[in-house]
Amino acid sequence: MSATTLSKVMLLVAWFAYAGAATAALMTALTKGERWLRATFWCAVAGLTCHTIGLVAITVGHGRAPWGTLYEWVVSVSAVIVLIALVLIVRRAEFAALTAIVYGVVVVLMLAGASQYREPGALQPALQSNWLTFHVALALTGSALLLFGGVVSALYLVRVRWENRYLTSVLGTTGTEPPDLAAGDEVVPLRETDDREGDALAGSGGGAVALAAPRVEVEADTEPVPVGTTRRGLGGRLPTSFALDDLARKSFTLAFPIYTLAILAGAVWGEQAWGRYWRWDPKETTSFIIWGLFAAYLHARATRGWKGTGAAWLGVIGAVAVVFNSFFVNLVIAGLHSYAGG
Amino acid sequence: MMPDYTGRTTDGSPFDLGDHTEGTVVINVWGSWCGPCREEAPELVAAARSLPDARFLGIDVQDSETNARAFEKEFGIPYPSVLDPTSQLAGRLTDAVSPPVTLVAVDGHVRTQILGATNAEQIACAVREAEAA
Amino acid sequence: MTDNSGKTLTPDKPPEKAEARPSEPDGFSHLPPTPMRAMQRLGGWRALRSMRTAIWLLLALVAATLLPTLVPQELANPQGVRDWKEKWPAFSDILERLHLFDVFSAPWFVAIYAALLVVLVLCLVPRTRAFVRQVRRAVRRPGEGALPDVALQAEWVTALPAEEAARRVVPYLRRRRWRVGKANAAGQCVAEKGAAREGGSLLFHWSFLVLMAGLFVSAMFGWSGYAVLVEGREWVETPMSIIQYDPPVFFEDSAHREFTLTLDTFDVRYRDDGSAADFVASVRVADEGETVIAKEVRVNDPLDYRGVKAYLHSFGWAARIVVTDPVSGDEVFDDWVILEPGGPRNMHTGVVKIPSIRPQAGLELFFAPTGVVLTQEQAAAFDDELGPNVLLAQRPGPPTPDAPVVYFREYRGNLGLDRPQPIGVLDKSRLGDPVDIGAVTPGGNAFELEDGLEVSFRELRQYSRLQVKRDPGLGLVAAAGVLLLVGLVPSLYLARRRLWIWIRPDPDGQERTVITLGGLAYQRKEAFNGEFEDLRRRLEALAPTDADSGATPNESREST
Repeated sequence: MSATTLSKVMLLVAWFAYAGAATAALMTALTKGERWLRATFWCAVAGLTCHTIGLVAITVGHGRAPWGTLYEWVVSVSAVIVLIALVLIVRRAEFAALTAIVYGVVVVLMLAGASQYREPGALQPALQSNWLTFHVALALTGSALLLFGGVVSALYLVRVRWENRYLTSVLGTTGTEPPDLAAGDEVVPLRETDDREGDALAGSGGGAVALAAPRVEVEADTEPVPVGTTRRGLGGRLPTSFALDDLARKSFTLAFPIYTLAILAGAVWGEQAWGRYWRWDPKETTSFIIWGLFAAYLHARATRGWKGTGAAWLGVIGAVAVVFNSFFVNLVIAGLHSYAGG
Repeated sequence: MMPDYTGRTTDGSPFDLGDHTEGTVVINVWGSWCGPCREEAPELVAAARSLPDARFLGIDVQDSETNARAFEKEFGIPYPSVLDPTSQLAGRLTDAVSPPVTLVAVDGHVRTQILGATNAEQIACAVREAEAA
Repeated sequence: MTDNSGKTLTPDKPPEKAEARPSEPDGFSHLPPTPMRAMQRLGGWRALRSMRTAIWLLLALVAATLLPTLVPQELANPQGVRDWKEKWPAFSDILERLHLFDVFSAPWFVAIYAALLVVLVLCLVPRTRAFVRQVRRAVRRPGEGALPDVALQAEWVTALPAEEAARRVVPYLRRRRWRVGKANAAGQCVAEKGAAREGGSLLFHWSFLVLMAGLFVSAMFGWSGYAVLVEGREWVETPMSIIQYDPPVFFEDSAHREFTLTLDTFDVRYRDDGSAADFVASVRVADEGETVIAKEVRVNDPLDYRGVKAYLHSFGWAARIVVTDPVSGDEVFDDWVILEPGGPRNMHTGVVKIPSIRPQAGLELFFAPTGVVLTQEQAAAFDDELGPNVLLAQRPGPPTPDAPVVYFREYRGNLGLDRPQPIGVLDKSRLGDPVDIGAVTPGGNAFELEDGLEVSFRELRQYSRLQVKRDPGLGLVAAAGVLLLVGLVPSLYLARRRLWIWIRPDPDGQERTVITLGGLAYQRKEAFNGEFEDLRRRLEALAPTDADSGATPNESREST
């Protein structure tokens, strides 16, 4: 069996395993069965194992990293998303609904990638560079983390809506931004004029004041909604908005430096290969857009009026931009990165 | 101050820029491939006739010897041109990005510079200015 | 917040500090009023400096950047711009007026990023000032009185005397990288950790100004363009020899080095499908007449000499074509003609212009490195501009020059040199139909045209097009990239923490010491719960409760 055939077979098996994992996770969410949770985990592990073998087969078969074509790129990104999910959520029952959706996304993503399958050709001389390998590996990891965070943010928005409705109907109050709900049990209430709470990268307005005389804001770390009472619909089965927000923050804060480094490594390569570190080709332009959106996300997390749903929307839009960058830019717009289209 | 430069003219005789450090010298940078140079060539021929006290010198850049000679023959250029296929000499005399450029040097100092296609009247004017400066 | 000790840990106003603010957890407000702070009180100033403004500006910049992915750009895709203008002239006219074909230098685009930079600086200056002040000064002694009422608290009694307890606790904290301040008369002190978070954040943001400075320097003093080198021929670095020259804004004088480049050989290795697997330009640099560098320039390995870099951009063939006019017996053309790939039938194309004869003549060249002879049917099957009568094509596969042949068409008329035109393009608008055709091989006989001109193909060589540039801002840009990353990591992953430590003799007991800890996390508070508990356990192990006395049970407690 040739390496190419092996990779195709293994990736097909992986695809079925992920479909199985998504189903098992869905059953976990519906029935709360321990057995379904275990099934999810083992499906995911089996899938990732086959997935890895498939990627190694591509690497060995072509003698280069497995991201020479759009198909390979999508398959590699999927592997990283699966890995992230496996580490962060797959083994936790309360995240079952999220797991189901993430694996569902992976299944769709791999299908979309397979639809773009091309027989790979050899690399142009310009693409034979260590910086390039580094650049693509980072861009791949960053994209996977951003996509994962984007899915989580989208579900956060669903959950927040549900929580607000729930609070209105059950408690007779309207929650504003759920992560703030349990706030107020600590030292100093946030002043109206103070923009800075310091949970993110930046702090601009009022920064000097905050440094010298820190105003302490409290993040809710208790669940704003009583769990296990009336749960209905997707919103009711999702993890709490606080847990989702925290998960999104983790993936985005991890993704941001990786994506930044990916852009910088790409610039170094561009400087070597073309004598230009930046020339606003379509891929670079979209990467800048993605980077800007997530920079805005990190700032928004610390800004009154933006944190919570506002920031989550930025995360979702950013993830959509990542998909756009992977598919649309490669397929429709030609540029220096057009080789990635196949 | 004019740089040191030795080379060859289009008719094959040796050339030394050091021979052009006295009096008024009108230097025209040109190329046979350059459209505006063709446009101004008859004007330069006229200027060379009407300004007998000034010496005229051509610098032929980014060009081949044969093509340059064909150009000179076509327009009947009466003054010599130095071959400068790499535009090294032109680069030492002017910042201009492309020919034509016309410079007026007095006693070895470049005093005025005309960028783009010029005409006899403009050259005469530039010479008066350079000599007065 | 409940306090079950009753005697300590109640919020207390620090004693008589004029500038202290009672509502703050540590009473450490000591910023003197500055003009900046006075101005902060003005509403507009505040709005300008607010994070919300910055976020909106950043999003505006992102939205503006989206446009070039939808509209072709003059710089990246000039052909696309021409196509749009042809297809939708009226619409394109509107786009043109809005600078949408050149977004990145549009005034409104510049305005957005300039505004973002202004907001950035306005935010950074006071933050940096405060940060520097904070780092340079030792951690302040707390005001005497009770420790502030913070979320994490612990208290226990140790049998050690107070001095000994302090001798154990403080160095331990220092080892764990806490900055520990001096104790006040009551035995209270403050420790801090994680200042690098703010430092990193500042570094990250300042690095954008370094980046802008780099771009500015590049635009002011840098230049770029292309050099076309034919094997064995010299090229000197001067403005006139650079093609598509983009000059510096300032100091053109000092920008050029006038060294000489010679392309000794150019080697290409082809794959079976005809694409290039690897190509190398062997280049020699001479300065002041002496060879200083001999280097093999490859696609990811540019030449770098005295701040000028040369990158291998593309390559191809150059033919030395000579045209003789038998009427005068003179050669009317003799030069190297660059043959660009991408012509019909996989051939390379070039142009010869002979303006000195009447009527003027132009030759269109089609070059096949390995020409194959076609049947008329095969030629017709191509259905291209050459038509069924031209029985020549380039053999498929690697374009090694096994049977080089130049096929040409002659045009007579007016070359239109009175209008600007690229060197490699024939303006056929005032030329007649092709009057004659012929084929020549290198070193072979001249082809005599019906009008008498003789065309010969003297020699074939390879040429290489190098991108040449001087980019003095590159160092700053690279430094900005490094600073940006160095700042980003701590600003995202470090968290600021503050600790209050009060070591004092037990007012109720003899020879015993009460240790009170208070902890405050500015970020990632959850994680600090564990850290604080861990710290308490370790400190308690260093200054343990006297188990023998049995009088005081371990009073450690935490509130959440």
